[in-house]
Amino acid sequence: MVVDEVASPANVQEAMAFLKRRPDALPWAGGTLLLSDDQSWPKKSSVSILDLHRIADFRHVHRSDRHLELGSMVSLSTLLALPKGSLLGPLRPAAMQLGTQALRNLATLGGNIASRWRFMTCFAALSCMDAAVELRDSGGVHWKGIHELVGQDGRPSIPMATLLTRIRLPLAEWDSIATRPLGMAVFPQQGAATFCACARYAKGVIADLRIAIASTVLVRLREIETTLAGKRLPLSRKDVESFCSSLALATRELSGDDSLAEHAAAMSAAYLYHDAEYLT
Amino acid sequence: MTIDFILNGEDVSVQAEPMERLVDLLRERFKLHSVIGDCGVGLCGKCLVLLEGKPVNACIVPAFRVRGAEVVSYEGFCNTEEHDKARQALEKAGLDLCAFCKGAYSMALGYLIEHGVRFEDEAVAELLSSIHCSCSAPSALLEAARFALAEKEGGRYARGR
Repeated sequence: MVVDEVASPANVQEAMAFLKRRPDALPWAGGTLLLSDDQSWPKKSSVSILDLHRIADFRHVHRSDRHLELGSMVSLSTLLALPKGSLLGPLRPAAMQLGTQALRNLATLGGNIASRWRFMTCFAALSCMDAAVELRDSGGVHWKGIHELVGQDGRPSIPMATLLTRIRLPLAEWDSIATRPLGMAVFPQQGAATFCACARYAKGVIADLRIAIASTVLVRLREIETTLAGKRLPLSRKDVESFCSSLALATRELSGDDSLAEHAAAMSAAYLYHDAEYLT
Repeated sequence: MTIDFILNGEDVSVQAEPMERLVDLLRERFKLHSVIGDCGVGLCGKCLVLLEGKPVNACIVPAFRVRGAEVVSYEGFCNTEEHDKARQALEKAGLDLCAFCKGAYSMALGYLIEHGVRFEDEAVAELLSSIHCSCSAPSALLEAARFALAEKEGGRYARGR
């Protein structure tokens, strides 16, 4: 891959001006995935890079009563250094799953989300949290739900010539959280996948349950999740098997990966049978 | 492209390809052989350097990223007070680290000392586990960290023994 130009703008306006001139430019956040996985590069003979690390606005952390807003260039180390009471929910263990501390000093939340060919560790957690992202393009600034970055085929669908500038997390307390790697592969290996689940219970009854699988595709079945809401713990064998078989089927259809589908079903069953019951 | 940056306290300038990795730049252009490129994907930690004061893996830092930044390798770290404290702690723990990981572990310990991290903090084990080498046991390295941080906190942990 030949890099024909590198721009390191100092502010958002300069970055957008560069994107207007080079709409095919590759935004560079931490670059940890790009330098460890050749598949994450665009399939072109040459590329221009838009290095974002000098833009201070992208490193802000702001907390309001209802949301936590993180700039896209907030490093995973900075995220993990936030106070434990920051209600990061499943995002904290998801960030912990990526590499070592030295790597997380470089890796950013925005880069983790904006990978164009597979979903990284944090995406499943952000999906469960129903996070929102701020996108900036030549048309202005737009807030979108995190699921709008997922195409119809379940694969990443980040628009070109667009910058991911902020991530907004709803502040919510969860009664149980599980974030686990799926299968034997770990990032940046091929086939690495993440399982994330979180739930709220009220008097032994599931009030809210969310489960997401992220690999090259994102699988989250909200209509099936709602069928379990209102059920009393421990869940019946029939309920768990029904949920897991639906999840496995959807994972197999989207990814074409039987092994991932089996792992997803097994991890979901473990969560629904044991974690949920134990943590209630 | 021209890469101007501060290396071990000195202003340096070098012509490099934008995607040339910092580990190669340091080893081949500046002959800093304490920085070792092993895994190339940021997992083994033997290429640990301080970039803007934070430990990072030089194998996943492209040359363009260090323009205007400050980089410290083990050769530069050797001249600091933290290095002496880290070396004493390693000696006290009876550790004789191999040439592959000595620089990285010493800098990690120095970083912990400099930032006033407490031994109970998960940052200690987290940072030390960023470096993978089989020459010494993780428990011995934690012991060295305990000695180093005890020194920093006026012997608090040493008294606990």
